[in-house]
Order: sequence, then structure tokens, then C-alpha cells
Amino acid sequence: MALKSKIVAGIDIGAATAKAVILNESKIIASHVIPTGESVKKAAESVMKQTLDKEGLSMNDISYKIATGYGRRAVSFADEVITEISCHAKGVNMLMPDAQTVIDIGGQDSKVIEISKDGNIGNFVMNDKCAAGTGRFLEVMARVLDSNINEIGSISLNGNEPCQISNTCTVFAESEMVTLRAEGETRENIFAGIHSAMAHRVVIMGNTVGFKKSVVFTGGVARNIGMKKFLQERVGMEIFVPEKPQIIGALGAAIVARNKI
Amino acid sequence: MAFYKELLTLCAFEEDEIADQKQRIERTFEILGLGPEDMERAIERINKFYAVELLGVRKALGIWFKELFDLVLAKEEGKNVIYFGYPPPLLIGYIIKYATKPGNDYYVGCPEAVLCQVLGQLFDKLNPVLEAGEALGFPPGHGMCSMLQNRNGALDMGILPVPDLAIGVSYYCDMGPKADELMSHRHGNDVEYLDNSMDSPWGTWPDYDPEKIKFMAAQINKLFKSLKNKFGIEITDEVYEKGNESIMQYFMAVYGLNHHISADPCPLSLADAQLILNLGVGSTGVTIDEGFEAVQILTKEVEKRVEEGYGVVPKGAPRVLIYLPSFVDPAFNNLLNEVGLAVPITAALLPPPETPPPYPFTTIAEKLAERMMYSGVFHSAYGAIKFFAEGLKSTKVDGVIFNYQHNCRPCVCRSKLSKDYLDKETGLPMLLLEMDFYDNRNYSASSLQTRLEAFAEMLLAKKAEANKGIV
Repeated sequence: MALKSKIVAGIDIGAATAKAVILNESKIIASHVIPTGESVKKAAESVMKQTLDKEGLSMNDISYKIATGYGRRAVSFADEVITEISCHAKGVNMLMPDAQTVIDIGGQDSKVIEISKDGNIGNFVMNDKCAAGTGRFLEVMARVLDSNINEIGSISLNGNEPCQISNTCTVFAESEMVTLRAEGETRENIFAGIHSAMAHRVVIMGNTVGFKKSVVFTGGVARNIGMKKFLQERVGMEIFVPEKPQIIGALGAAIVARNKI
Repeated sequence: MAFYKELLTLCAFEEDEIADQKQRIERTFEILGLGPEDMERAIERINKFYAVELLGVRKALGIWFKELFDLVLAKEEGKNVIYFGYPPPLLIGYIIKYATKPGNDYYVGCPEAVLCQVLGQLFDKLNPVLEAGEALGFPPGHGMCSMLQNRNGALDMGILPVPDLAIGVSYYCDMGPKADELMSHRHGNDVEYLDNSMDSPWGTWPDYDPEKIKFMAAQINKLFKSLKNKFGIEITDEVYEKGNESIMQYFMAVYGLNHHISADPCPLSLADAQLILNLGVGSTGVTIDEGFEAVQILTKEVEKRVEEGYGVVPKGAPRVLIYLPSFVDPAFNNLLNEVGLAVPITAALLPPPETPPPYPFTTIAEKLAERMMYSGVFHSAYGAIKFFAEGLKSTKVDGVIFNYQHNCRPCVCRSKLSKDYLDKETGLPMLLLEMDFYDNRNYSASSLQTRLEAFAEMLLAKKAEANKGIV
């Protein structure tokens, strides 16, 4: 009788990016991130194929596939779907078993998750319906200030007097940016103010769950060093960012998949 | 065949009933602007969201339609119309209805609840009414819930009769009376206000300042006097007892039904259960006459489902108490079951505490006021939370979904207080969910779905963990 493959996959289809992780027992053997684009279904197929290609694998080599993220139901080849909240808890638990809190900020939502001892969700909170406090907020602000989204975190670190951003609405904050620029405020201070305001919003939301050591920051926005700094200031403790924070949801899905075989 | 016959037959109307009521039905649908396409949509929705194989469910749907006909046609049929506000002073409404029952020449009810149920849940056509309310100065999110848009919008559209008297209630929401004032200004109807405040010190419930009861009782007596002067309605001890009996009979039957819904696996969907429970909120007419029978029929049917082991979710599914289901969106209510959560009970059915009220009030108005105060929710934030926590102790649930109305001032502040208090008192996991019970334009279903699914996953994991080692 042929041995069942121990290779599994997790696919995380987010609002901004699609991610896939291939796991062989406890080892990540491949991962990949692409923009989600217009078609969630195509993004899922594409990211999976590109991840498989990295190791010369085919879909037949994968024993179990779990999809997560807001587009999880569009992943037709998945054996099962799980929410990204469970997956981020699982993914962080594997990388940092002593971590108790996850701050996950993605393209369209932000979450604070308490991890139970066995890596499941202990408690969680998620932003309700507003774009403020999400990656989309930063994208809009970067566009308004004609800046590269990948650089605004570094720019914010150079702000010595962060502006007070009063609007929590993304649309109104956009016009506030224009006003600040017209008043001659520096980009550095504006971006520092934006990051500070967003960190404040996420931490206020997260206080419902609480922040317990160790705190891990995941999702695409975790690559933004400015956001890490301002979150640390607000939370009042060190925050850890994994090497590839974007793939933690997909990793968590793969871990659950591994436990299914 | 009449364009509405298939729909009403689905809702347990008899053929001769449809024939007898032909003029009333057609006139109601004409006023509401409901045509063949609307009937098709309602049939599709009813088949999708409700267990139409259950006669009790179909009867409940039929009662909602009868309530709609009675409401919309009340003035044209020469009835006096009395509206009460929301949250409704239920017992007072039932008492008034009972006092006016012999001649059957009054409509007494909460019209926005009827419109939520029929135009919202069944026809998915509430938005034009809400938009009409917005045009009157009730934009969403301005400290006014959509119930206020609903009634005022419907009156402005001319689909609701202008009441002879509106009973404005400010003992919970202070914005309702403002909306009643606008209604009175625009339509010239009388308003009688039932004022009180839910301001009591933290930690005092179930005790309370007796002066608050006396004040509220004076407000109720003022209403009774107005009813007598305006309509000749006398609220006697006998009327009080009969009104009390009628509502108790109905709710005791609902409690009986709920006992069976509490089985594992949970045998009835939340959307179906709400059809019955909401009847007691919006209707003081047809519910008294026919609601009790519908509950009894449904109870037998659910009992049979329990015997057969039938569940709307698998046996062993995590059991949650939801604070309030949606009034307009059966898709949201059923979503809870779809993500694998059993919903054996809602906050409205939590049993009252066993501690007796501390003061021996004797007049009808005082007894009514005391009952409202004793319900916790009209006492204070603490009263509402403590009542909820006490009730939870008698339920066997794995978690609580505390969904709160995003633009309801009494609710919003209480949500975080509730979570903290219940965490400490009961240790039950609790999901805070910001939503809109009365307007499905104000939330994203997919975002709610992720939260509900994650909550279900969390509860399942906690159950599995708790069961470790149990052989």
C-alpha cells in the first residue's frame, strides 16, 4: 500500500494578497505571495501553482489543502475552509509557542487574537466595518501623499512631531492629509501621525481582548516598521514580527491540514 | 388565480379565507405597492429561510400577514389606532388591547415591528421605508435606530395609518419620543409620553428607589386617564388581570416551545423561532387569538423532531445564547446555524430571577412600573447586565453572542461592560458583534460570517479541550 504523502498546503486568500504555504510535516518547504487582483478564484489557482512549481510538486503530491482568508470559499481545490483567525493563532503558535497575542493587520481588516495554550483561539476581536485600522487605510494615505506604500513606515520613523490626525474615517482622513500638506506639514510628521492614529485605533480595539506577552504582529502591514514601532509604544511591550508575516495565515491553514492526515 | 394566492396559501391561509378577505388583501397590497414580483420574491425567501414543512411556522407567517392587513387597513375600516413605541411596553399594550377587545374597533400595536417582519424579512422591501425616514432627518448612525426611520418613513409614504394616539416611550431610549414629536408635528396625532429613566446606581438591581416606581406609575396613570378621556377606555383590575393572563398564556407557551428547542441537536432554526417570539412584540391583536394555537402546533412538531433526533445543526454543536436576533434579516439569523452554532435561547427568553420584588406596590400602574423596573433592562446598565448574567446561569450554553445595535445609545456603552462582567461572573466566552437589528444595509454579511465562524471554531476547540480525558 502506498504511503500517504505528508505534504499539505494552506492557502490564504486575502483582500490584497493571496498566499500559499506547503508544509512537509513541520517544515515549510515552499511559500509564495501574489496580489489577489480581480479574480479571487484565479489568484488561488495561481498562487498554489507558483508555490508548487518552486519545489517541482504537483497538486497530486498534496494530501490535504485548507483554505482561509476572506476568499476562502472561492478556493475550489481546497478540502476544507477555516477562518483566518484560527489560522493566525495556529501559525504563530508553531513559530513562537509562548506567544499569547496576535495582532494581525491585513488589507481590509485588523484583528487581535488571544492564543490558547494549545494554539487555538482563546478570544478575539476584529474591526467592524470601517477601513481605518487596516492596510487599505495606509494605501489610501500613501497614494494621497504620492508615496510608495513600502516606504511609508520608514518615513514615519523620521517624524519628530507626529501630526494629530483627527479623522478616523478613511475618506475624511484623506482630505485632512491634503489640508496638512497645504499647511506645509512635512511628510515625515504626517506619516508619523497616520501610523500613530492607526496604532491607537487597533490597540483600543484590542483592549477588549487584552495584550499578553509575547505579542506577535502578522499580516501584510507587519512589514511596515513604522507600524511596529507605534504599536509597541501603544501596547507598552515588545512586539515580534515573524520573518514572513504575510504567510502566517496560510501557515496556520497548513498546520491544520497536517493535523488532518 | 390571484397573484397573492400562492404566497398566502404557503402561509397557511385557507382557500375560503383568501376568498373572504380578498378585498382587504388586495387593498393592503395596493397601499404597500406589492405586486406579483414581490410575491414571487417572498415565496422564494420563505422557502429559503423558513421550515415551511412545519405547519406551526406557516401559521406564524400567516399571523404576520393578518397583522399587516389589520394595521394597514385600520383607519379605512373605521378603527381607532393606538401605536406604542419601541421597545414596546408590552403588558400595557396587551391591557389596552384587552380593554378594547369586545368591540374590536381598535388597532393597538407596534407598527415598526410588523413592517420589519413582513416588509423586511419576507419581502426584503424595507429599504424604501428606511430611506423615506432618512429624508425626514433620521440619518443612520445619529443616535437613532432604524425603528424610528421605519415608522416615520412609513407614515410619510402613506402606507401606515396616522394614529389617533401614539404612546411615546422614553424609559429606555430617549430618542423615541423625539421621533414621536416629529410624527405628531407632521401628522397632527396626539402623543402620550411614558417617561422614566434607566439611571440607577451600579450594583443596586434588583433593588431600586421606590420613587422611580411612583414616578413611572404616575406616567402610566396619566396615560390611562388620557385613554379614558379620549376613547372612554377604562383600565380596570379585571382588564389588567385578563391582559396579564393573555400575555402570560402566550409567553408560557413560548417557554414550552423553547424547552424543546433546547434539545441537542437543536431542532429549530433561529429564524423560525424568531417568527414566533417576535409575534409577542409586535402584535396585540391576532397573536392573542391565533398566536397561542400556532405555538402549540409548532411545539408538537418540534417535539416530534426531537424524538426523531432531527437537528438544524449536528448533535454536540456549540450552544450559544444570542442577545438579539435580527428583526429584518433571516439570512443573518440562519447564518448562526450555518456556521455550526446551535441557538437554543435568546435573551428575550431568559427566565426572570427568583428574588421577589422588594416593595409591596398595589395599584395597577405601580405594578406595571415595578415589573418594568424589575426586568433589569429598564433599571440601569447594571440591571440589564445582572439580569442577563443571572439568566445565563440557568442555561446550558457554551458561549454568548452579545450583538449590539451600533446606533443605540443604551446598548453600545453596555456592550463592553457586559463582556467584562460576564467574563468575570460566568467565564463564558462572549463575542461582541456590532450590527444593526433593524437595517441590513449597515453591516457586511461576509465580515460577520468570519467572526461567527471563528467564534464557532473557538467554542469547538474549547469543548474538545474540556472533553479531553473524559472517557
